[in-house]
Amino acid sequence: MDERIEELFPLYALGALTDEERAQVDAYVSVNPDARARLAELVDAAAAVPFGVTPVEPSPDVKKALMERVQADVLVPFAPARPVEPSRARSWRAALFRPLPLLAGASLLAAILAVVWAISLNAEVTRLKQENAALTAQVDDLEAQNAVLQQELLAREQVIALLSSPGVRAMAIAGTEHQPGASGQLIADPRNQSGVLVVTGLSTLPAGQVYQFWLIDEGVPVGAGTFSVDEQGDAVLEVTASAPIGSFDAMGVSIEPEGGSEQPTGNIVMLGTMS
Amino acid sequence: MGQVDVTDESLLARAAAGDASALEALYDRYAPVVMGLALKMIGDRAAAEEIVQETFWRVWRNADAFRAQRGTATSWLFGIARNLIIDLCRRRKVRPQPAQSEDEARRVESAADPDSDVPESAWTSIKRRQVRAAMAQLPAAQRRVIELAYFGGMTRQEIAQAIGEPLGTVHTRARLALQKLRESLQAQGFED
Repeated sequence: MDERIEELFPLYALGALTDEERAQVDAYVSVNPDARARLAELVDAAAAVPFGVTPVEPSPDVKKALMERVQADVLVPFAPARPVEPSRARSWRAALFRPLPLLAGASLLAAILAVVWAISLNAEVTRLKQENAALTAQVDDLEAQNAVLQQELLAREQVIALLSSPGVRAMAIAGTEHQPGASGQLIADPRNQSGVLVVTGLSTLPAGQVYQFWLIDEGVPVGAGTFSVDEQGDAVLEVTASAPIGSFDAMGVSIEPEGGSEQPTGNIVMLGTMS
Repeated sequence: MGQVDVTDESLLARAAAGDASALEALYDRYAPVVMGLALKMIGDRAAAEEIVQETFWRVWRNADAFRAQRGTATSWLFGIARNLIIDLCRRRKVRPQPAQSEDEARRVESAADPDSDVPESAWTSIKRRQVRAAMAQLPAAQRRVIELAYFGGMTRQEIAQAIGEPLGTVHTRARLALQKLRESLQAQGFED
């Protein structure tokens, strides 16, 4: 247990840490499930605080505007994670309600019944798709948890030892114009050759591509590991350098073919300096 | 209609699957709390309503990113709201208002929405009483640290400066306050 980092837990729970301090805590708990459980207790206690505030009903217009926005969102085929295919459903309905040739008697009745049946069937299919999506999400979640735990078992001791070092520093790395939402920290003792890179906000990459971390010395990049991000764009990479981290001027992340490259060949998506 | 028996986590899973009614249920359950929080910190009803709408819009768009092992659904939802409030205050170059009195907050409240959900209101009312009782049991110095951090949006260094105590004292008071808060809420049967 690293008391120097764990003393930050209550202020983390209350949202009173700087970005750099938060990154240190995130890195620490990412490889320490016991510490993560201790932190979660404090986070949940802090989450009760807003319940003590006098609740106030927003204007009904707020809910109306929100739900209109949500309904419009449902009808637009945007969402990567949403299993329902509203655009297809909409065109399907549009096809059903296109002007039909005149039908007489039994044919018209049969057509109406078919429409009613198809609508009820469509509702059922939508419901089942939603259930399926929820179950799939649970399975994905469990698989992701398992992967994280496996990674933690391998990395825990080394990272905790690193974070406990008195000379450890957090050096910021930020997204370039290719991925401006990305940010991260290289946490290392500049006198040592190892560290931990913690990044967030990177896009997931298609199969066959990875992110590669580079340490840069007088403009010459040296590969320092490849990584992928989880569905939230987060990743933790243990970095082992060929020389003390502090002897490098800068660092970067590029997109490379699986296995990495000798020199950056794809877009540089993150950059930072060691200062 | 109230859905107190439906967990927040299952509503989030349904919202992640595109079920707008699940988001509506979460809104009915927590919009008044988010609105109260925003009003307390900003003191501006129009801005607070924008925060409410944006909070639940982000819940809708990011519901599939919620992970239960990182905390409860409310810690995630209120975290979104609090970050939006602090961002707004930074853009406006104003400090959130940790010490706004309940009287001041009530002045900007409107009459209750006649369509508001009565069972949900009773449910949040119980939680409010439990949290206030737990907060009231804290020593004033510990309660002050929670207020400056959570409602005032201050960093630990700013809190130390504001109360004129070393960082270590801030750490100790925050830890004791959250531990006591947790124990007190558990003793009252508070459910996350």
